[in-house]
Amino acid sequence: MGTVPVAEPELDADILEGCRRGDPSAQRAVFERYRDRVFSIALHFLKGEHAAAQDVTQEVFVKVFRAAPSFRQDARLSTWLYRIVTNACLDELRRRKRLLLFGNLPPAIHPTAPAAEPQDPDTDVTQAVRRLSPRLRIAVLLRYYDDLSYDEIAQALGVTAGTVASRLSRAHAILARNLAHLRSTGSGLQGGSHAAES
Amino acid sequence: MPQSLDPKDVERLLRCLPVSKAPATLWEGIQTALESPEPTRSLPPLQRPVPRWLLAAAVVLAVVTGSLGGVFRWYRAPSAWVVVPVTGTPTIAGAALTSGDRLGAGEWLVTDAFSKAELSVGRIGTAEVGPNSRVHLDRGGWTQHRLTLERGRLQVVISAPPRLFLVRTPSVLATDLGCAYTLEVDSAGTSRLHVTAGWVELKQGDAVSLVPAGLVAEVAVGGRPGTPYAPELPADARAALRRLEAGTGDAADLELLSAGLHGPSEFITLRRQSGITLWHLLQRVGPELRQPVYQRLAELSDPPAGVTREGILALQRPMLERWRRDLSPMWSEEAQSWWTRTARRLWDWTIN
Repeated sequence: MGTVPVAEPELDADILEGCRRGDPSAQRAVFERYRDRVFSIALHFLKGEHAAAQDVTQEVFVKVFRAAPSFRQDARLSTWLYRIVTNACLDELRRRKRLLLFGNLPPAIHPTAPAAEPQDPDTDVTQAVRRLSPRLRIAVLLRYYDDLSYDEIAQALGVTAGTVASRLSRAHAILARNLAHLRSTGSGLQGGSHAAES
Repeated sequence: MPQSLDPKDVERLLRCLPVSKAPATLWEGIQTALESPEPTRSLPPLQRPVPRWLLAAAVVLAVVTGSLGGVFRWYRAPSAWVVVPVTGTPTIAGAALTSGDRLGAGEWLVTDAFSKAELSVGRIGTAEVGPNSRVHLDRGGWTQHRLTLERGRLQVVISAPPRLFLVRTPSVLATDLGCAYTLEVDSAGTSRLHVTAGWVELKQGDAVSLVPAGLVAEVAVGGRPGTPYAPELPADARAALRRLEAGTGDAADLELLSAGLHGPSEFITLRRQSGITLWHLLQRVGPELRQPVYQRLAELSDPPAGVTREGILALQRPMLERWRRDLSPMWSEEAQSWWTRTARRLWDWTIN
């Protein structure tokens, strides 16, 4: 069942402290809080490849928990976590490019073509987002899955806030063009339905 | 054609992107991974992304190194040169030459009045040794092919980058700049060069003459390289040229020389040949004759843009060089075609 992404308050200090100590229950709490958004970002970034998105999600949390002792208390966990998500997604994309370059991409990790409902606005939006270039795509996903501010996205991507604004602006312009057909039907423009993908 | 969507609608749609449920089994995988020892590297070294600039730099370095290696290998001067008799019985170190013999460094190749021989100048050309000649193979550098012509005649055809083939005579050092020429040395040691293609540099001490195709130049022992001139220059004009070069000429000699040179109304190639003669002479006459020589030269070929009368009369090297290049576009094209030939050879060598 899909849910509307809504920004949530940061985790309790106790949970963060437990995470730093390696407490499994605290780790579980962090996992439960972020797992769907991390998985969704990876899934969209990797164009619907479930297996790869699961791998990336697992890799992200393993990295987060292993590096938790070095996490600074004054920083936001979500910003740090999304930086790791971004790097993991980009690493996966680079790995795929290398495999494609050398011609040994296994069939299992070729992007699958999702069965789409042609007139489903959510599917249209999802597909339009997946067609964006990786840099624009990750900026959009970070912005709209956890309502990160420009500064937080900039920290996650390792760029300036101005660059984030520019990328989002370009992404909006491309999406506005590619989703122009929804204007005539009015589908999904009044609040939208929230179709679940899994 | 539909219009673009309103930006606010785009944002509204994006805020409704579906959230996908992560499989619950992920937690077990994470726990298992956390319990296993941490890998020292997240990826094997070979799978780490290599920056594109590093790849590009590596490719460029490999291409440059390979090309230079290929060029050096192709143009490497052999320690002994293949020599074949053309007529008569040339000798090497007193022994009669037979086909397939080699002239080693430090050895003399000698021909009598009835014999000729042909030397292979590495991979860059050939040098035919005429009758009554004595030729010595000198030790050169890695790519420099060096001979000494003590007397006699060498007929040379070279296809190589400039300055790879050098011939020392008793009076001058002749450096190939990519060309064909004949070099003769008489019994007094005087050298006479006739260039048939490209350029040859004649150098003795600090004095230099650049001799292009179609011109000849002479150098006596102890003298400086002579001004290049066309072989059809009349004897009286030639004598006038020698006096002007030696600093004993006057305005009448310049008139005499000008009468023998090609005029402004003649073919451009001929005018440029005469221009080269005057270009050299300009730098060899005294200040009082420099202005009239400049005037004659300007009549044959207008000074190119950026070259001023004052600069030329002051013998400013950049302006002189610019004018010389302007006088010899034909030879510049030859230099360009040489690069084409070299690139083609490099390619042939690489694929073979």
